[in-house]
Parts: sequence; structure tokens; C-alpha cells
Amino acid sequence: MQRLLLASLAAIPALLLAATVSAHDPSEHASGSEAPDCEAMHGMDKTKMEADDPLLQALMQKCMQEAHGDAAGHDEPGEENDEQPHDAGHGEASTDEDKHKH
Amino acid sequence: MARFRIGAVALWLAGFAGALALGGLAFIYSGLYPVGADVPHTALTTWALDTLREHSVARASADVDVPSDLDSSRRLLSGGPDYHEMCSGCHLKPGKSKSDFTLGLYPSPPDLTRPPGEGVDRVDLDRRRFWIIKHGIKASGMPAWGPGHNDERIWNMVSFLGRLPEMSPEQYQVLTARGDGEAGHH
Repeated sequence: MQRLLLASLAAIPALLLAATVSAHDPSEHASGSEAPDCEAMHGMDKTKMEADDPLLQALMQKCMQEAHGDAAGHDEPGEENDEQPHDAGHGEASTDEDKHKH
Repeated sequence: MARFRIGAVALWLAGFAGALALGGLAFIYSGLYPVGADVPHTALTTWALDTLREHSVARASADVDVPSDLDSSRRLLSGGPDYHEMCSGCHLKPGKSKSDFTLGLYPSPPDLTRPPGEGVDRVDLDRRRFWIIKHGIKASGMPAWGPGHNDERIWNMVSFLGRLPEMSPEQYQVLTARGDGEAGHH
């Protein structure tokens, strides 16, 4: 009985801790996520956007990833982006245009 | 004679301050102040809290270093899904002008789909946004995301916020959808 009580006392905080950690996992956010609706982008007036606009580039990258993912049985998208470590020094990873810099 | 007057004035001031403190304490314990979120603060309280918040955030965020690649497609792609899942319920998205949170929270969360006001310094705004996302704001409904999200991920959201007012609902949908293969992307 005492052993059961001790096991419960140890297990409950461990479960609570595990739940806290998984709550911040992006895969938790992604449950039930929808696919990008790139069909809706076909009607977009791209003449108002410049080719080196990061927003336009992001949209194109996303839809290309989606198209390639569909064609190749959902390959992992964004692999090239993941090459940069997330803790890379700020200001060192400028791979895009300078036009819209702050 | 003059010494007597100074002593009397000091005594009077001390008595006044004591009465004020006691009155304030009595008011706090009386329960008379309405704390319901559906009853606005008085103008004086609103001014005091707004001023306190603005100056505190400005001071705390003054030394934040803004990444030079903030407006990059990589950051927009990473920040979009996080904004959608963590922020859009309160701070809205293109094509949506209200939610249960914007109607019910007090103070009402700012609509981040609207462009910042004229004359707002962009770098200063980015610094403030980063600091607020990371640390949150007491008693406002804005949580501190820092404990569960690293700086890089928060900067990606700041990057997304910078372009959000220009986005159409269709563009927003594309940039914020994680898709099947992106679970665990970060």
C-alpha cells in the first residue's frame, strides 16, 4: 500500500511535467492542420509585387514545397531552410533580399 | 517660532500621508472596485496603466538586437504557422475583424492585421514586439511565450507580424498552413 502511494506520488508530477513539455511541441500545434490552398493563389495579382519581395518568395516556396510534397508522397518540406540552425547568430544568415530590411 | 511651524507642517503632512495610505488600504479591502472585464477602468486608471506599460516595455526592450535578416522568406515561412496557432485568436487574421477574445478580453488585444500608426519607428516596433512576445504583459491576457519558445522562433513571429497587414486572406492561409509534412518542423 505504501509502495503504491509512493509510486503515485512519483508518477503524478512526472506526468504533469511531461504534459507541460509536449504542450510546446509544434507537432502538438500541427494536429489537424490544413494544407496550404495554393489554388487560391492563381488568381493573385503578382504584378503588384516585386520578384524579390520576401512575401512573394515565401508564398512561392510554400506552394512549391506543397506541390513537390504531393508529387513525391509528402517529402519533408523546407529541408533547405532547416540547414540553418535556429540558434544561428542574428545578422549572419541573410539569405534573402536587402530591399525590405529595417 | 519658525521651528515650531516646520514641525507642525511636518506633522500635518505625515498625518495626511497616513490617512491617505489607510484610506487606500480600506478601499482595497472594501471590494468596491469593479474587477469584471466587462466594466472599463476609470480614465485615470487607464491612463496610469497604459503609461506604465508603454514606458516599461520601451525601457526593457531598448537594448534588444534586431536580426538583420528579419524580413526574409525563411522567417515568414517559419513564423506564419506559429502566429496562426498561438496569436490569431486574439490578434486576428486578414478577413476577420473580431473574435470572442477581442470582444471579451480587457484591455482588448490589439488588432495586428492593421498597419502600425504613422510615424512609428519600425526597428523600435520590432524590438517591442519581440520583448512582449517573449515576456508577456501582466494582467492583460498576454502570456510570456519565452519559456517554451527560443528567441529565433519568436523573431520569426515578429518577422511575420511585419508583413501581416499587407496580406490577403488567401496569402495568409498559404503562409500559415503547416501542411501534413511540417509537423515538428521547428
